[in-house]
Amino acid sequence: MLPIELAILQAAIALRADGERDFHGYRIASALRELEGARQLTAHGTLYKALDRMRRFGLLRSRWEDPAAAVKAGRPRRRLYTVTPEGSRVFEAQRLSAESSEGSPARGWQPA
Amino acid sequence: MSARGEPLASAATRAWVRMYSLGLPEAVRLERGDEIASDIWEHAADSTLDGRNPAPEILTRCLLGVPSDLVWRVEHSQLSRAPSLLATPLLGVLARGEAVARWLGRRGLPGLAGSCAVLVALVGALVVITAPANGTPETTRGELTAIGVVVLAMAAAIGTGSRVVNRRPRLGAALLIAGAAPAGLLLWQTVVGPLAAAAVCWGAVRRWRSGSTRGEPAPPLA
Repeated sequence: MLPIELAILQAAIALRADGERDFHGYRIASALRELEGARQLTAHGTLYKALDRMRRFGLLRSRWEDPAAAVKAGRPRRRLYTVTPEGSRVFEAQRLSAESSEGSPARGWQPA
Repeated sequence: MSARGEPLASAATRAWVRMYSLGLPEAVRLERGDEIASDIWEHAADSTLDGRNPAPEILTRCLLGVPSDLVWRVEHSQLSRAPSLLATPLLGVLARGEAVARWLGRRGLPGLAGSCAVLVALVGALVVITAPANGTPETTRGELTAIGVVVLAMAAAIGTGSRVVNRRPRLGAALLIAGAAPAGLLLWQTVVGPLAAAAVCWGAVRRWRSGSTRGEPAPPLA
């Protein structure tokens, strides 16, 4: 698993704990920036390639929001992601493994 | 909501997405485009609330993501779904790589590179010419035209590179690779496109290595 994928899981699980069950790409990019204390947002290519890969591996599930809701809000439709039980399990395993060795699983990753 | 330069940065980013997803299955292409369009919109809206100009960051995010975009493109190309279609010719070319390079060295790189330049220029011109007819709600005429212009720029790089490679090997090689490599990725599904691009790049690398002296013709490669 790549560091950015772990960081995405970490940020998504933190959002879920705050009551945001679903997230879209820009939301998770913002959360990653806050999490890492970075100056800039993750690059489009880096972020969406990672999300695509995580979805294919079953760590995330995605769905497109109702187009009518997007039209009503006056913006493009969002693709909403949710961490799957498998994603939660993998993150917990990685977290425990990192804790037993050197610390936070997302340490060392910086936005591209 | 539009800050200075934001519409241009957004259009450039959407044009880039259209370009690197060109030729992929419609569903994959549209989903990628919609997702990036949503991101850009949210980014611009969020920045407006904070009073920031999002244009520089949108462009930076686009540029820094280019390598990942190209890898994503390759991962989603037909190659992964039809390995048997491409594996044989690809292996054949790899096995004959040295022979191809020798051929390029004897016959001169401009022959193959010039043909590639004409082919790529035709693709670019077709995209530009058909842009008014092919513009859809998802693809504006401006975006399609931008894609065509970028493809024409690739053709110009290949053409110029092939003309100067004998006199200025390193400059010529750099131009050839800059034009042929992305063109090969864009024409990934055509089998001939990437193979020709790979042959041009291979020959260009050989010229680069052999041509450290400016102003003198590169020595034969064979």
